[in-house]
Amino acid sequence: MAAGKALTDQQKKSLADFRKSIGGANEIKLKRHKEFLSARKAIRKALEKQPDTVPSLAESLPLPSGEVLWHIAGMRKYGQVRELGEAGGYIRYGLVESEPQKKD
Amino acid sequence: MIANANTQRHVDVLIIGGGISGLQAALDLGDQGYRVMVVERRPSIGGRMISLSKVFPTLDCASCITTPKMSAAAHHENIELLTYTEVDSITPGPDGHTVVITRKPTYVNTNKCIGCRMCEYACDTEYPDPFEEGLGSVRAVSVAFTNAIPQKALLNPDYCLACGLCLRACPTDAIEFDQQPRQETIGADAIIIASGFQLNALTVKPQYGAENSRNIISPLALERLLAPHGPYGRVLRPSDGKIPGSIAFVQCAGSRDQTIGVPYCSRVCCMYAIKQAMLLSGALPTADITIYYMDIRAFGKGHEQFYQNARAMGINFIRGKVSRIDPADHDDLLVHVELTEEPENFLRKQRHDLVVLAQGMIPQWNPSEVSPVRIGTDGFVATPDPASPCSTDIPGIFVAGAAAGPKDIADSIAEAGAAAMEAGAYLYRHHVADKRPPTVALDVALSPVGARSG
Repeated sequence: MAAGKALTDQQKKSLADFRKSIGGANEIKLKRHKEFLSARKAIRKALEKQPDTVPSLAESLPLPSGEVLWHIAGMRKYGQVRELGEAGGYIRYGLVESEPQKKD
Repeated sequence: MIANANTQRHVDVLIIGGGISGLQAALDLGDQGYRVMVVERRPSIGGRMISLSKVFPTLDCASCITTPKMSAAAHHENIELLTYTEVDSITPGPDGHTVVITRKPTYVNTNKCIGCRMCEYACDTEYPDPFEEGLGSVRAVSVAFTNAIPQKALLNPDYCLACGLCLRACPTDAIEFDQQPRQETIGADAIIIASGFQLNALTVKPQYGAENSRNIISPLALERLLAPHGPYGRVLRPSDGKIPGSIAFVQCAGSRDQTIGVPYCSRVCCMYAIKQAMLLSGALPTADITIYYMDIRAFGKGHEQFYQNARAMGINFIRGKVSRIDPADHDDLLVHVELTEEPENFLRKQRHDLVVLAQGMIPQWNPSEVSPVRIGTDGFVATPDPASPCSTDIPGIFVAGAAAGPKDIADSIAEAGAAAMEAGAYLYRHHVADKRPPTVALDVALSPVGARSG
């Protein structure tokens, strides 16, 4: 992910104030985010080895299959995975080489 | 903290709701020269219709009908759209109504945002996308959906970690973390309530076991699965991504039942189930599709033929009442149905991959909480005068579409036109004819631009 431009002092201050106003990156949010990033990383790592279906990914990770599908839907939306045909009534998904992060 | 801007603005008509009814009424009034403000609680206009795949009975693309109206309203010189805005109070008065609204913070300066979505691509936090009925994900800062209007990003503070990635990525410095809710007071000579509907909960009947299975879904979720740009890009069942081979529709699953407080018919479920079944048979040609129904109410123009076409296509119509749904192995579902046309062996169990519950239509918003507008026993806005079906019991406040009761898109659009006409006639009577000699009033009426201001 690109670092982007540097923040001005004013932006740093408004960001700090905002962080305070929303309760910051509190424990619940951080835990949720950590789990989210960990699941994404695990799915990406598994798909790096070979394209796979949702139930097979769910079994190997292990994660609930509904959760894996939700992550796959998000990765598909942001251009990180794509469909690679069918296998036994399920879609096989594979990683997109360069991640353009665009749906449309 | 809510800042009160204390800026009293005035419009001819304020429309609550930017769905298909609200937009139609706004366009009809705007074209007549009235100054219209549309207040929409969501980040985009378009309402429920923009999330649908196709419409019955023509199978026209829903967004192909909605998007031009959204765009026309957004570019109309007489229409102002306020999205992500709530109505706090409506106070009727002898010289018009006073409406207090709150503009919720989007944390994005809409004048600076160019809709490039660089903030969205930079963000690394996602949450269940409400537009996709939770089936897909969306980032903590994002444009609401692909064809949203306005095409502006919105930051969700419930999921934002305040990491600043969006701030660094935005090329126009549009991210504004210091935004606060802002209250405004609007004067309006007339109001049209077009706040639409929602569906009652999937879990309203515990015997259907929706809380135990991801594969018991709402019809709006199926609309997203059927949409070409839906969460999975195809129809898959949510529990494991299986391509469903057997799909059931359970009709009257949230309507026509006094025990759940919805004794009325929701009027659209028969037809959208038939439409969805037809679309599914196109998307999944080998799938078995079954509709369990009490009776089919195909009363609209072209609806009966549509129903007959579905039967001819091989959709299974089974008359009976589903008593319960049990989980089966491999995430499947066992539907228990009592067949009403079988004298013997009338209890049957049928296994399905995916079940769609026809939930009941209930009001999205209760105006009686913020105004003297009365609601009926069904919870929808009361329309006491049968000769004026868009009028509420408050002079100058009108209602259109599903805010007045369950109805389909065609009826909602027709009613929106009627509400606009009634509002226009009301404005003429109270703000033009009352204050002018008849001949001058006629001139003004024939030249509608600036009709009330002259």
